[in-house]
Amino acid sequence: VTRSPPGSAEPTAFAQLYHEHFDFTFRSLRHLGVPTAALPDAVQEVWLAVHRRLSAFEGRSSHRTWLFSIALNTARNQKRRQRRRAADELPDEIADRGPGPDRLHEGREALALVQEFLETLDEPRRVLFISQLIEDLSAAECGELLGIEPSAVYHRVRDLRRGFRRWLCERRGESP
Amino acid sequence: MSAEHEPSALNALLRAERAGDEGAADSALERVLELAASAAGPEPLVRAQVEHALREALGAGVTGAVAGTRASWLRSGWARAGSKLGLVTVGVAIGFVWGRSPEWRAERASEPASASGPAVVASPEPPPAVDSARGATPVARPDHAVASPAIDVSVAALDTREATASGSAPSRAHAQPPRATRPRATRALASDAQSNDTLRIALEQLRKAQLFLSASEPARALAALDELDARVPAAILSEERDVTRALALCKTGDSARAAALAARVLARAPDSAYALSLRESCAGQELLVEQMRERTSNRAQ
Repeated sequence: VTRSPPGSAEPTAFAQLYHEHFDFTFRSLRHLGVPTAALPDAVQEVWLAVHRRLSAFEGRSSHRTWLFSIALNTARNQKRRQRRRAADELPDEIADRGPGPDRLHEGREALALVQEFLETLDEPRRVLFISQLIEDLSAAECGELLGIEPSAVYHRVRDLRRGFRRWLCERRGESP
Repeated sequence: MSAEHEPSALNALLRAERAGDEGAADSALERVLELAASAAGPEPLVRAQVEHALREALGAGVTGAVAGTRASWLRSGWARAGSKLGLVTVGVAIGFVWGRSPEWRAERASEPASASGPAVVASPEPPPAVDSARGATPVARPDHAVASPAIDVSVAALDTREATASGSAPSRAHAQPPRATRPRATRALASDAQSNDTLRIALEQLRKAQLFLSASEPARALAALDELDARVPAAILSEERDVTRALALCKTGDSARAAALAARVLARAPDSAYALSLRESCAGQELLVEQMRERTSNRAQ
């Protein structure tokens, strides 16, 4: 995506951004812990915010960093709302009944494991895991998201990789 | 997670860890992460539903609260029924709306929020007995009204296909309601509205049937389907009707009729999205028994 000139909210710029990064925002929200049933509303909220703020986007960060930060705020808001109306949420057992054919798919299993691991992380490490290890943002972009130097990103990512591998082994009852 | 379902990439990772092979473990880890990333993406139906809601919100110049209502309704209606069947049915409705001409969509988008009600909007109150059984009310959450912004922009904002096809950026002029300059579209709207009503009724009745089915009230589910048959031509959502009826018949113990319906659906659409549900139901078992009988009989001959 070419960066939009500051102050412009051209429909084509929005549309281009949407079509190139919709999946990215959806995945990010999912990894950030937004429940499956709430994802359509959450991703919609992200893109409404993108539309509202696009004209003010100055291009100082990459689009993906900017979109991720909007997704992060949306996920936080969603969690706050979820706490307020916990009783109204769609219970997981209804949202996802039984294993089904998809659940047997390798990708689903990997996703379930990753999400389980993400649950064990605090927000900064979760953000780093998602942005760097899953979404492949650059160290500079991740550093910008977290307010740390790229060199610190490398160190933390290395620790996260080790931590995830160790966690997977423990999850399988094997010592690393 | 049982061992036989362990992802192969994960197995590779575990093997590499056991062998102390850092490089192989890292490669396998990358594979696990790639798989997770690809599985985390949106399903086509979710993408269509969000895209539709955004088009409605951004194109109509209405508040985001309405957009929130759309997505919430889509989720709460069928998803609360806890059924893949329902989601696919709503997908049909979205496809129905989505497949309309740009003029039609622009016309719909220019209407006031309260009046813009294609098939996916109306949310009939579920039957009280089902409500109490489920303990949930499928309505939009009010806090979206606070969280969502007011927006007034062109419906073409999301129309990349149209924009790129023409090779020029849509101008703000596209945001103007085309009503005055498109009498043909206006006329078409009347017949579209009628079609929408029919589809809306079909969706309402199917949803009722699904809710009754989820609440283990198959007789009432069948009654809702009978009412649907009486009010809406058989061609509309015929597959969904047959599947729902087959599942309801299973719950009443009428496996023979359920199997007949299932056979009809599977004959028409062997790759039906509902094939698994049918095969896992009593109808599927009945069909298997029949097939075995046929094979035995053929061998005997």
